Amino acid sequence: MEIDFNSMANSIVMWLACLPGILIVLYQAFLFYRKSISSGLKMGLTGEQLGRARRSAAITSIGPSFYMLTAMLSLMLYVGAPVAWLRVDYIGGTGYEIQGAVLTAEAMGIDLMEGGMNADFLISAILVMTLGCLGWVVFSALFADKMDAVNRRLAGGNMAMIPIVGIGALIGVFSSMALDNIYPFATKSWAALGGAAVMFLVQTYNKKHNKMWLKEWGLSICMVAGMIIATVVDYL
Amino acid sequence: MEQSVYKKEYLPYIIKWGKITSWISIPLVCIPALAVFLVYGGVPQWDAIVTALVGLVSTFGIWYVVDPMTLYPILQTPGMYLTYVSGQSKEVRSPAAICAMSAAGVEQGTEEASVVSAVGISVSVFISVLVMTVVAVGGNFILSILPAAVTTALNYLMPALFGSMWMQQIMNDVKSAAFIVPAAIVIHLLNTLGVFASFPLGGGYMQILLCAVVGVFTARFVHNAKFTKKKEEA
Repeated sequence: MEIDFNSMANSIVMWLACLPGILIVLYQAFLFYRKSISSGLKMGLTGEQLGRARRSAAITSIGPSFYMLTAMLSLMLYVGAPVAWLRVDYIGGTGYEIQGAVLTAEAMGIDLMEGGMNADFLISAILVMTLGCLGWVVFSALFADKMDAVNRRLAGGNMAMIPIVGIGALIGVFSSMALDNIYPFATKSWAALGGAAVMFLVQTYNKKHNKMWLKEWGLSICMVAGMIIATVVDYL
Repeated sequence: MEQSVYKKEYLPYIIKWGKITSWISIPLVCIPALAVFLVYGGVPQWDAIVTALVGLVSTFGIWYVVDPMTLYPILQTPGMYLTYVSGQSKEVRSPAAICAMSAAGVEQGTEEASVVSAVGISVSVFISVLVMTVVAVGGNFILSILPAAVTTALNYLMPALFGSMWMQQIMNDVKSAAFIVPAAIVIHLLNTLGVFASFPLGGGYMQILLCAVVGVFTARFVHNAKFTKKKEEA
């Protein structure tokens, strides 16, 4: 029974069925990329600036993409590799996807650790994970073009204030996200504090020296430094 | 002139195609469910689906709104369309957008930044889809060859990233941060004490929302004083 489930969940049919969802994500990114480059040049951005943007985004994306690795592997056990592949690429978030699969299994009285998954579970889990993530797609499809007005109102109607309140909001948002990882104190707190400390050094150094490669690699360096600090603390 | 390219040509194209691709994506991601139904005869268990969805949406539903609102200053309109189709807003898209803006030397919140952020986010979509494809095909193999130290270290990837981005933003505006960070610490402590638990849906979103609001008003207050001072001097 379990072998049946695995061969079904990992079948070529499922790979093909998941492909269109991935392709639309790539197609949208392709359209936006092409348009942003051509309009960016017309707006007076230089090819060099856009090249640096492209390179630094590529470098910075590699590390964080791997954080999905372990969660993705659990998801692959529950719903097969193709569905897991689509799920992490289309509004993917590890906690959310796994919880969707687990909640479906619970509601159907299936123990994911012991197997017993079948076609009914697979279709139900897919529907739960898919329907559950559509809120984001619908919200952005309806409101992405109207958010600018909200932004302007927050800035008190003053255009020069928009970047300033934006940075203020982000300091608040990232304080919240960092503090979630710092207190209550655990080993991961060292990762957050270590990353922050190395970022302080990098930024202070770069204010004087303005090294381009450091702007491109900075965040990756700080992230890896934070990881190493926490791992060392872990082993002490 | 510069404004007209962004407002008259760029944004209309982005909004048109952003909406089209977002709406089209919805039926496309339902194909796997259809395939299980047609090919393997799976039957949706609607009672289980509703139970699971209620559980899922009551935990994550508020983030449909809070996530885009709080990250808008980085993502901007083009980035929002990209991010809320590809996902991983905080973990992959925001870092990529921030680094792209910093490497291109544009100021967050400007029209140039919005275009550069879209370049960064679309590149990050190509990269993360590539990484995820490699993982989906060879994930178990990759995990088996990674030393234990690396798999342990992967657990610290997100805390390290958030800590780094935190400091990066603080150093963009140290004056405002001098008030926002202590306020955020108080809000976080209140949250761990369960003060927001009585809010609808458990109040887990209150911390980040309050921190963002405090951030906006602090920045306005701190820099408004500067603007008026400049006016008086002039």
